[in-house]
Amino acid sequence: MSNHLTEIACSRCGHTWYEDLARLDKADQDIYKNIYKGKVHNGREKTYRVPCPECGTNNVVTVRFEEQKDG
Amino acid sequence: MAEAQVVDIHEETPRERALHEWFEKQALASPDTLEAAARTILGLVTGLLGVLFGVLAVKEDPLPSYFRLPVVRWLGVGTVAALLVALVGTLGVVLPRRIQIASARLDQQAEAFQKLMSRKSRWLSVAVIAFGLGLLALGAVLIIALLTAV
Repeated sequence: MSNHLTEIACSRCGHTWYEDLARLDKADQDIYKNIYKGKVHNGREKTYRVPCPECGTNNVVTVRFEEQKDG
Repeated sequence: MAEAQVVDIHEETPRERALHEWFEKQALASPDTLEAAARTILGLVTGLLGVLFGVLAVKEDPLPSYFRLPVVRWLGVGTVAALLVALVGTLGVVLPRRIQIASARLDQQAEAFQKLMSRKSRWLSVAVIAFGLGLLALGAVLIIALLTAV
């Protein structure tokens, strides 16, 4: 199982499933507007738009990434 | 290795949906955006070449008497400079750059939208101030030219 798989529960129907956050992080949308290139940052907290595979509700999921300490 | 912890899940709000849909539309409209930018440059180059040939043609004729006044010359230089700065400012508002965003990342989209608004408003402020100064200088040149015309 990938380390990026995260359990998500739908806010409407309660259905739970695993989502690969690395897949959602891929820049798959090109737009042409005049903002400085490469300034959109990747913080420790990310917000994803994840549709529920069961009921289709679009869930907005905020995920916090924390460094695991060894030992 | 970073550990992912879900801290909030909620149903998409209308505002979040609108932001997502706006980015979807921008992605589909990218060819039109690029063509519009090319047309803007094309129009500007054509117009400025017209101005250049106009200036070269004027140079051969004897200049009107008010052109000998230093104040008119300097105000003319100021007008040209201010209007060129205004032109650069408007180009800063309309000329696009390529931005790559993850379509599932609402935080990236929100941040990109904020930066977009901030940059456009900054460039537009520069353009408006320069245009205002250019307009004032142009008005002064025209008034002096009218008053000194024989």
